[in-house]
Amino acid sequence: MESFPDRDPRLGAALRDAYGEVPEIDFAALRGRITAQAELPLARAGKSQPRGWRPLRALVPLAAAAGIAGAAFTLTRPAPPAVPTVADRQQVEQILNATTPDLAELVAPQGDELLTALGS
Amino acid sequence: MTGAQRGAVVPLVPRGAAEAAPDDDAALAERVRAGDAAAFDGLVNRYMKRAFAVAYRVMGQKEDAEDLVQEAFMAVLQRIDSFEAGRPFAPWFFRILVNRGLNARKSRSLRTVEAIPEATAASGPSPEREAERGELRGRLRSAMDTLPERQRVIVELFELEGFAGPEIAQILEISDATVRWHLHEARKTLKKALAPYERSA
Repeated sequence: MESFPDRDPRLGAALRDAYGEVPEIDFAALRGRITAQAELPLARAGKSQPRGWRPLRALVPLAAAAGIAGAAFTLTRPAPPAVPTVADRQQVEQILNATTPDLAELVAPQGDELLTALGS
Repeated sequence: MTGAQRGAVVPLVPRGAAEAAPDDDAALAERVRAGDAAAFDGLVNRYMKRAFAVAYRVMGQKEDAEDLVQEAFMAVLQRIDSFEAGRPFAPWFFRILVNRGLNARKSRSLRTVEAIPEATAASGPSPEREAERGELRGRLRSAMDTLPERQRVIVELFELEGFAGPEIAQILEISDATVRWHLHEARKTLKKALAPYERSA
C-alpha cells in the first residue's frame, strides 16, 4: 500500500507565515454559548426518546420483515381439506349403497365353481 | 503551539482524551441522543479546540470560525439520530464541520478583513527582508486561492493542522489515494509560488 508523503516543513512554515497561527479565543465563552443553545433541543430529545424504547428500535425492521413473511405464507398456503360433516358421510354412504352391487351378488354366480376348483 | 506539535501527526481524537476516547465518544453520543446535557457538554469540551483550529483554517476569520464551531455542534444535535452507534464520532463530527465550512465559504460574504500575521506586526527583520516575506505571503495566498476548494482544505488540514492522510480521507469521504493525489497536485502548484523565495533563501 502506498504511504502518505511526509509533511513538508518548509511549505508548512510558509503557509503558517502567510495565514498566521490559529488565534487564542475565549473557549469557556464559546462552550457556554454552545451549551446554552443546545438546551432546548436536548430537552426535546429527552422528552421524545423514552429510555426503554431505543434499544428495541433496532428490532423494528426485523419485526416488520417477520410480519410480511408470515402474511405471505398464510396467503399462499393451500387451503386445508375440509372436515366432512355427519350429513356428508350419510350422503356418501347413500350414494355408495345405491351404486355398488351387493358383494354376495358379485361373488354368488362364480362361488360354487371357485369352491370346486379349490377343493379339487 | 510548539514547533514539535506543528510537525507531529495529530490524531482526530484530541490528546489527553487518550485511548479510551472512542469508546467514551460512543457512550457520550448515545447519551446525547437521550437528551443528556452533561454528555453533550463532554463532547463539546473534548472537540471544541480542535474544531476551532480547523474552522479557522477553513474560514480564515476568528468570528466566522467560532460561528462555524457553534453551528457544527448544533448540527450534531440535529443529526444525532443518523449517527451510527459503533462508528467513530470524530470523523463524523469533522465531516459536518468541514462541509458546513465549505458551504458557508461559498455562500456567505465573508468579512474581508484579513488577520495580520504576528510576524508582520513584530519588529525584527530588515525592511528589505520584510518586504520579501510580504511578497511571498501574497504569492502563496494567491496560489492557495487558485486551488480547488477540497485541495485547499486538504493542504490546510495536512500541512497546518497536522491531520493524518487517512483521517482527512475519512472526513472528506474520499479514498486515501485521492487525498494523496490532491496533496501532490497542491504541492506542485504551491512550490511554483515558493520557487523565487527558495532561490533567494
